[in-house]
Amino acid sequence: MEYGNRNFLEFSDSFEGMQGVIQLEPNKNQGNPQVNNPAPAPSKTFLDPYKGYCEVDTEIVFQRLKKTLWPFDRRKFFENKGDLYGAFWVPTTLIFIMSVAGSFANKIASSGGYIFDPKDIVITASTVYFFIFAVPAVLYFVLFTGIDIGYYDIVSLYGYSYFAFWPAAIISVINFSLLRWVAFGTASVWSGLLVSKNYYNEVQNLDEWKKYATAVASFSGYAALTLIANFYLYE
Amino acid sequence: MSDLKGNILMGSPQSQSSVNNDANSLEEPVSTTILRELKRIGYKLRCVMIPKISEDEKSKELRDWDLWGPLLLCLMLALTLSLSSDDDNTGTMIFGIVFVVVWIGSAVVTINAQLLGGTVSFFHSVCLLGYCLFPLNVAALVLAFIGNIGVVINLALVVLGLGWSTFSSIGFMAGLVPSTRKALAEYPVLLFYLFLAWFILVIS
Repeated sequence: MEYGNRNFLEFSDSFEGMQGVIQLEPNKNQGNPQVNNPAPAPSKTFLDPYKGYCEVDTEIVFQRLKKTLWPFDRRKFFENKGDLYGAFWVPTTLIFIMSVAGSFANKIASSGGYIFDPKDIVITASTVYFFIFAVPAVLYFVLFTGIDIGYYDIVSLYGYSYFAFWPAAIISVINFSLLRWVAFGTASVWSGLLVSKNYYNEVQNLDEWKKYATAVASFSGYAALTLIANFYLYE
Repeated sequence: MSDLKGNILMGSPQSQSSVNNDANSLEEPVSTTILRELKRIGYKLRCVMIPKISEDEKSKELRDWDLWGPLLLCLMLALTLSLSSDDDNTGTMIFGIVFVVVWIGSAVVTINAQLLGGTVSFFHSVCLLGYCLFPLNVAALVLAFIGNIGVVINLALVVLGLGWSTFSSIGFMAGLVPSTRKALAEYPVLLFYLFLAWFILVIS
């Protein structure tokens, strides 16, 4: 007999005094003992929540990069959601550019006696990644409690803001100390403006100390990068 | 009263023979096993490196992925670079950096492709990226043996290796994601090999 999608088999054994119903799975295979394995369904469930944050096309990423360079726009940076693609690859590319430019600057400056120190890469990378993670964490957990901004949106914006450092890193190859300070300082201010302009409305409603703390936290990452670049990397 | 009939499967014939294969490979001499593995690695390498083979065929070849080939290539690269430095500590650090960058870099590039909507087995992609290290490996070896013969020649050699590596793997990556995101998936591959190429250049 059928009930819904499943087959039920009635049985009754008057000798033993049993009766009942056995539920059968609907006969999919038509008696075929060997079934071809279906194609393995993608089952990376631990990545799925992050997929929602990477729904961007090449066009959109380029548009966002362009927007980074002009932080005076009053509109919100992201139309609806941040993307983690830019947030990761912009700083990663920056680490690469800084390492290349740093070693290049060393080569020009010391003219032939230079020893490449791989520690530079490790320190630059650690610093950048640490701040990419920590600054949005501080902003989100400490300062923006109660305000409706997602952690990943802050991370996305912060990551994209490092795009302003690409030109600074390239210009700093020129062995002129003041130029380096100016380049990195300008980039820091530019990036900081981007972040603060975006959250200006929300920050207005915070307590006084929180407003200052937000500014300090936002600029700390850029300041650290400037210091490393000037004192360490481009020696 | 109804009769119930059915079959209990004892395992497919294919799995039976693979059990037998494993038992056999435990009994054969080590040299035979190693030679067979090396031949397999060599075959896959040849398949990946020849530009004329289409992306689909390459992808099919590497579908039964193995990480021995990439491990071999990674170790070779790390050793070559770390031995060409004079200082012991720097050498260790270089070895570590190359190792970490190759494996974590491959993982990150693969996860990136997956996040952008690609459906590919993780190890399949890591395997392909690892095998495509071969040209850069050759460039590093050549530079290590010949020495510093001039900036332009060094540069040309490394650029050649970089181009070959990137070209081999970029088609595969682009095929994984929707066409509007192709560049987003291809760029990390380029950055990965670019970093390794630059590293080879400065260390040598």
